[in-house]
Order: sequence, then C-alpha cells, then structure tokens
Amino acid sequence: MTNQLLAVKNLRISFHTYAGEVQAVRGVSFKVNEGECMAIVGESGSGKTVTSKAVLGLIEPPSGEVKADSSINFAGQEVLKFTDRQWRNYRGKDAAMIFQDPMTSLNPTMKIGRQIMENILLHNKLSRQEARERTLELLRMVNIPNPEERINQYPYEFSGGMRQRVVIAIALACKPRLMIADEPTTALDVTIQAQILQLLRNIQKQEHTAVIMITHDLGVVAGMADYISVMYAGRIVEQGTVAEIFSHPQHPYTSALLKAVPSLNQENKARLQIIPGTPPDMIAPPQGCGFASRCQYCMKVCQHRDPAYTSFSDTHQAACWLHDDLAKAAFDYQDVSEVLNHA
Amino acid sequence: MFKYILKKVGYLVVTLWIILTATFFMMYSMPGDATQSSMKVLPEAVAENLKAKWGLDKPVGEQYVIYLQNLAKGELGESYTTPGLTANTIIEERFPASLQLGLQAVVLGLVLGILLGILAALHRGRWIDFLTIFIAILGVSIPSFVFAALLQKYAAGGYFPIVGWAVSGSSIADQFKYTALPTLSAAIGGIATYSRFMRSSVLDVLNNDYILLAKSKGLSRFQIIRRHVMRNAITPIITIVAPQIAGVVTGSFVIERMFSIPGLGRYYVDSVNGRDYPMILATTVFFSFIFIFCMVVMDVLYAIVDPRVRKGIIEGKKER
Repeated sequence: MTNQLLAVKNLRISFHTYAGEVQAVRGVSFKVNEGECMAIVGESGSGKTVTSKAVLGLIEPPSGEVKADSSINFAGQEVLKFTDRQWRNYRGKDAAMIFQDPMTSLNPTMKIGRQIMENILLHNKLSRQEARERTLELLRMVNIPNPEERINQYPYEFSGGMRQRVVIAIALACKPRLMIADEPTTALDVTIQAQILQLLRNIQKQEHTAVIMITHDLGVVAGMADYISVMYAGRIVEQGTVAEIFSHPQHPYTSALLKAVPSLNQENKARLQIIPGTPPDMIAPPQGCGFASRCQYCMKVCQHRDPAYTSFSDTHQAACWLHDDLAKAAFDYQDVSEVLNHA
Repeated sequence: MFKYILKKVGYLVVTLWIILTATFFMMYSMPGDATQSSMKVLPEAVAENLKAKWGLDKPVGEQYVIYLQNLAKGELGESYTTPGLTANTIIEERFPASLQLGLQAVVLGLVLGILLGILAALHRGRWIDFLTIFIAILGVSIPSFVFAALLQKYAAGGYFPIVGWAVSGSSIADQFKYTALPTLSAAIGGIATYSRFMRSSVLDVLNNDYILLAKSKGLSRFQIIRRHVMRNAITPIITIVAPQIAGVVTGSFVIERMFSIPGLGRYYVDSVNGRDYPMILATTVFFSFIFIFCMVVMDVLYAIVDPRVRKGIIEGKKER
C-alpha cells in the first residue's frame, strides 16, 4: 500500500476583481500518493492552474483568496496554516513547480547555473563547490550536453526545450517529494514535447517523486499519469485511474472530451467532435451542475442542484445526476457509461 | 568588449569636434566684433598679446586652425575680459564645486528614487505608493529653483546657511552644512523621475513568471527583490540616468546662482552675458564632453548589466 502524500479537501479559491468575485475553484478534493502521478485535466479557466498554485501557496492576497474552510494536507502537515518561514522551507524543498512557458520562467539576467544553485544552497548546508557539483549532476540528469560549459550561460543562449530542461532541473534540485508540472509541454514543439515528457517520466520513476501533471492534452495524460482528475468550472467532475477514465468515462463532460481527441484511424472526411458552447462565467457560477448548459443529457435537476459524487470503484467517482437512482430508472439503458460511449 | 569601448571613445572625439567647430563658427558669425567691444577694458599690450596668440587679426579660417593647434596643446582659451584668466583655470577652479554638488544630487536622487520606486511597487495602492506619486508629481512639475527658495525660507538660517559654499578642504560637517540644501533642491527632479520609472519597471518585472519561479524555490521576499527584481528592473533607469547625470554635474546654474555657489554653471551664464567668447566656447566644449562621456559610460554599463546586450556586442565583432 502506498503512502498518501497530499490530500486536498474542499479547496475553494476566489479572486477579487473589479468585475466581482471570480470563484475560480469551488470545492476541490483529491489525493496524491507518494511516487504516483496524478493528472488534472480540463479546459482553460477550469481552475486547474489555480489549484496547483494553491498547493505551493502561490495565491497572492489581496486579490487572491483561499477560503478559510479549505484544507491542503502535505505529509501530515496542514500547509494552509504555515507561517512565512514554514512556507519557504516547504517550497522548493518538499514541493516544487515546473511552469508552463520556459521562455519566461527563467531570469534573463542570471546565469542558469546560479539559478539552479540558488535553490540548492537555500535548502541544503552545502559549500558552493558541492552545490556546483550537484548542479552539474542535475544538468546531466535532464540531458543537457556540456553541462560544464552550459552552467555559465544565460537563458537566452538556450532553446525552448533546453530551457524547460533547466526549469525541471531547478524543480528537482532538492529532490522534492512532490512536483507540480503546470502544462510543461504546452509551449514546446511536438517533438520536444515527447522528449520532455519522457524525461519527466524517467525522473518520476527514478526519484520516486509524486507528480501533479496539469494539462489539457489527453495524449500527455495517457502516457504519464496513474490517476486523472477532470476539472470543469472550478470543480472536479470525475476522477479515476487512467484505465477507468479512458475506457469507462462516467461523466458526459469526460466522454465529450475523449471524443474530441482526433484519432489516427478516423476517416479523413470525418468531422472533429466538439463540445458546443463555452464554460460558464465564474463570477456568477451556475447554481446546479457547471456543465449543465453544454450537456446533451441535461435534465431539469441539473440546472438547480449540485450533483453528488457517485462511486464506481475505490478510485473512480463522478459527479453527475445521470447516476442518480431515479435518473437511471428513467433510462432505457442499464448503464449510463454505455449511453455515453455510444452517443 | 575593449574594442567596443574604443569605438565609442572614437565617436566621442568626432562628436566633440563637430560641436566645437559648429560653436566656433556660430560665434564668429554673430554681429559685432567681440574683440573690439570686450577688450576695451584690457590694457593695450595685453590685447595685442591675445590677438597675436590666438590670431585674432587673421581671417577666420586661420583663426580656426590656430585655435585647434592651441587646443591640441591643452589650452582651451583665454578670457577677453579678465586679463590672464584662462579657461583651464576657470574649469579647474569652478568645476569641483559643480561636480560635488552634481554627484551628491545624483546619488541622493538615485538612492531615494529607486528606494521609493521599489517600495511603491511592492505596496501598490497603499499610502507609500500615493506618497511616491505625490512626490513625483511635485518634483516634476515644480522647478528646482522654487524648492531652492522654499528651502531657503523655511529650512535655512539656523544650522544651514542660506547661501555660500565651504572652502575646499574644510571639515565634513561644514561640507554637509553648506551642500545639504542645494543638493536637496537639485535632487528633487531626479527623485521624482527615478521613482516613477523604477515603480513601473518593478511592477513590470514582478509580473514575470521567473518571479513566481523564484518564489516557488522558497526564496524570501527580500531575496527575490535583491536577486531577481533589482537587476532586471534597473536597466531602464540606466538609460534615463546618463543624460541627467550630465545635466546635473555640469551645473544647474539656477541652483548655483541661488545659493551663491562658485560653480561652473554660474560662470557659463556670466560669460554669455559678458560676451566673453573664448570662455563660452571653452565651457560649451567642456559641457559637451561631460555629456557625451556620460553616454559612453551608460553604453558600457548597459552591456555589463544585461548579458543580452553584451552578447550583441561580441557577436557584432565576429561579423566584421
């Protein structure tokens, strides 16, 4: 049995803007076990990046607010109650983050060696020489050729893929137990994407690091994740293992997402499946299910009341009214997943 | 890098020569004969000597050549109105006061301006931010001599003398006493400008992903500002500082006049009023030199602070 590393419970985050309070995350709960990879999938604005930033305490007041009844538990500690000093010890050392755009996430006027060493020296009692050795080791680990030369170069001397390797090296510097990768391949070429994903996968196995992978690319998820959480409108609508989500999606949104992925053996003339409509306005989030307005199975109850989670296995839950006993009875089909898969 | 500096110095010399030539001929083409009007006060023999040395009775082309020859020997010119007074002496005597005042004002302006700018950016929308904006608007819109007058009226008289300048070699306390008010009035414009620039520059830098990354490393707020914000935010400041340094160092003659400071700026204005042509020419050339020199220093500083500029310079060299 693997140990639980991170448990997020009822996480709610709002941003106060001129237009009003944007409820970016509305009650998200998930768990990540040691050494496992959990993917958070969802479209832009679904709250997945905000969720991950909250885990590192990067939601900035006064505009950003993590609601008081939220809980983020890391290895038995409640991180939301951390003091400034505790946060600093935790960030970079216990949990680290890889950002989306490597072109902007490195300081342009600092040598990359220093940017990596900075992290090492901050959390470990090492001499500069030892830190340098560790930096070289890290650069080798992320497959950067000539690390002795590269260590003294500036970010502008690196390509996008190489920079992302450096960002990964920074995240790995103190052997964190949890790594959060926020769309680490979105800004890269497709060929480089594959390399970076391979690298992340190898490191995860090698270092036994837990990873939260944030992405909107289901292809990325399939190759990397153990578990998937599907987010929509600030909520997790479905979570389960990769196999459960890919072959038995239980939420209409998940199944629509899966259908929207173009397949190789699709006919040339077949049209790409889309989900009509746009995500709801999070300043005034819908009363019932967030997906109701775009759902082809929408019922009256969906628009007024929040669906509860229905469990399909120890690992697989979905929040949808279709799985309510009353709704099931109304269908001709025995199993809703069958409906979803055939529609 | 060395080649780059050499090239910049070459440009400096060429620019100076153009300014010098233009000023020389412009002054010659002014109506009236300065040698006639200004030299009236001089004894006959002195006037003759001056005319012989600078070729003042020769055609303008020859005068220009003679002037250049004397300049090459390091002689900047001699006063038409005060016998035996050379521009070299004047600059030696008067520039130190201007330089001291100017440097003090620039340093004060930079330190306070940058500090205020950073504080304002970090506490955007709070009282320190509004204070900075207030100071900036005051400093930019009210001329320095108004501040000088206000300071003289309200702050001077007790410990701080209203006018005057400490003789060179006097104690630090004396130096402070005499320079405090003029420095403050000369610095106010700088404080205003730098704080505004620094504020927007810091806000700009703070929005970058690499600041978030620095935070996610576990760096403290202070470490982030010192290591990641400062260097990136300061580059735009360098651009505006150079011409300002030149301006302040070469003497804000208004301040020098109001506080009766024996600086070069004040002498410049006096020599224009007295139509003392060689002195006007000499001070103009000297001011231009300081100005262009500051620009060269700025270019070099830019390359030091920003590695990308440095790379551009080195690559430019390879191409040739």
